[in-house]
Parts: sequence; C-alpha cells; structure tokens
Amino acid sequence: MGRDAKGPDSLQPDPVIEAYKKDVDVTLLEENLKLSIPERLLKLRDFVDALEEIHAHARREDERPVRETPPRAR
Amino acid sequence: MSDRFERPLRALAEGGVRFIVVGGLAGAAHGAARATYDVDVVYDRSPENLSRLAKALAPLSPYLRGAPSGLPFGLDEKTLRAGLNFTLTVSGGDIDLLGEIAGGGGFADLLPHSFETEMFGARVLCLGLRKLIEVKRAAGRPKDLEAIAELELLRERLRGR
Repeated sequence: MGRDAKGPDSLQPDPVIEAYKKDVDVTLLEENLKLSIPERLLKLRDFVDALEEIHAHARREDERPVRETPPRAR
Repeated sequence: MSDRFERPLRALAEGGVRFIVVGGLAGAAHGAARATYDVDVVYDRSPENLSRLAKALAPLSPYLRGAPSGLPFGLDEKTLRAGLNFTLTVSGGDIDLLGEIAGGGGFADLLPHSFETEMFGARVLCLGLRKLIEVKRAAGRPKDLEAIAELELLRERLRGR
C-alpha cells in the first residue's frame, strides 16, 4: 500500500488537460490541502447538502402555480 | 446533515468487506473541490467477500439505480457473482460497486496503489492520487477532464512540498 503517494515517476502531460488546468481555482485546492482527509470529506458533505437544498428549493419554486397579477388601478 | 456517504461506507467497513474507495470521493480525500454525490468502490471478487458485501448492504435495501420499481432484484452473492459493476441506490444515497475499472483492473491490482484512511468515522482503503489520475485518464470520459486537471494540480502541489 501507499506505493504511489510520492515517487520519481511522472505522468506524461496531456495538452487537453493542461488547457483545463488554466480554469481551475487553485485557491480552493490549497485550502483543502491544509485540511486533514476527514475534514475535507466533512466539507464535501456540507457542500453537497447545501447544493441539494438549493436544488430542492428551485424545484419547489418551479412547481408553484403561477398567480396572475391583478391589473393595476389607475 | 445527510449520511449519503457515511451509511454505505460504514456498512461496508463494519461488515468486513474488502474494498477500495475510488472516484469523486477519493478525489475529495486528496483535496479536490468538486462535488460528488455517490460512493464508488472497487470490491474484492473473492467468494467470501461477495458474501460479506451482500450481507453488509442488505440493511440498506440496495436497488438498481434508475430501474423501475418492483423488479425482482436482490443483491445476494449469486447476483454479485453473475455481474461485475453495479450502480445501486441504497437508503440515503447511491453507491457504485465496481469489480474492475478501466486502466486500473480489480481490487488486487489497485491494492498496492491504495492507502488506509478514515472516512466519516470508518477505516477504509482509498486509491492513491497517481493511480486515481491514471484510471480517470484511461476512462476517457470528457466529463472527467476538469476533474483530472484538478487532481494533477493537487499532485503537482504535493510533489512540490
């Protein structure tokens, strides 16, 4: 176990993946690297829970019947 | 607070199942910031492990994800032996049971590239970062490109330390 934790071997760069790297927010990765593995996973769970809540709210809004706005009195 | 990851992982670990966490959850363990919604594991296909796997997941009522309800599906040792990869929904979450993965092989192939860690209170094996990148590259799915870029950046940072 643990053979690939750190080694002299390197992966051949793939130009497509290299292009994608430019769009990655590395500050998020650096923040995660300061955490332990259990902490990273709890952060993931909280993030996914929050996303689910937002999606559920959006679904409820979509399903709500549209009420007609009464004409304004002049 | 959901237990979408915790319940299946703890069930497998407490049931003595031999498995390795791969996929998005393994990526998150290495520091990836992408959301993932399911647990992906590569499991040992030995007969005794298939039996342990079926027993461990039984209390979570595993069912084929996306299949119409009412199918005569039961996840027992025989079903596991007859298949290889299963995408399942279980109480509270989803789990993919993978007998093999592209570019990585099966449990025995991945074991030398894994390390033990804690996930949601369970002691589990997690696939190492380099191998995780290799298998994601081998899968060749366009949707993985961003994830691979993130994992490679993590690896570059770790190697630079």
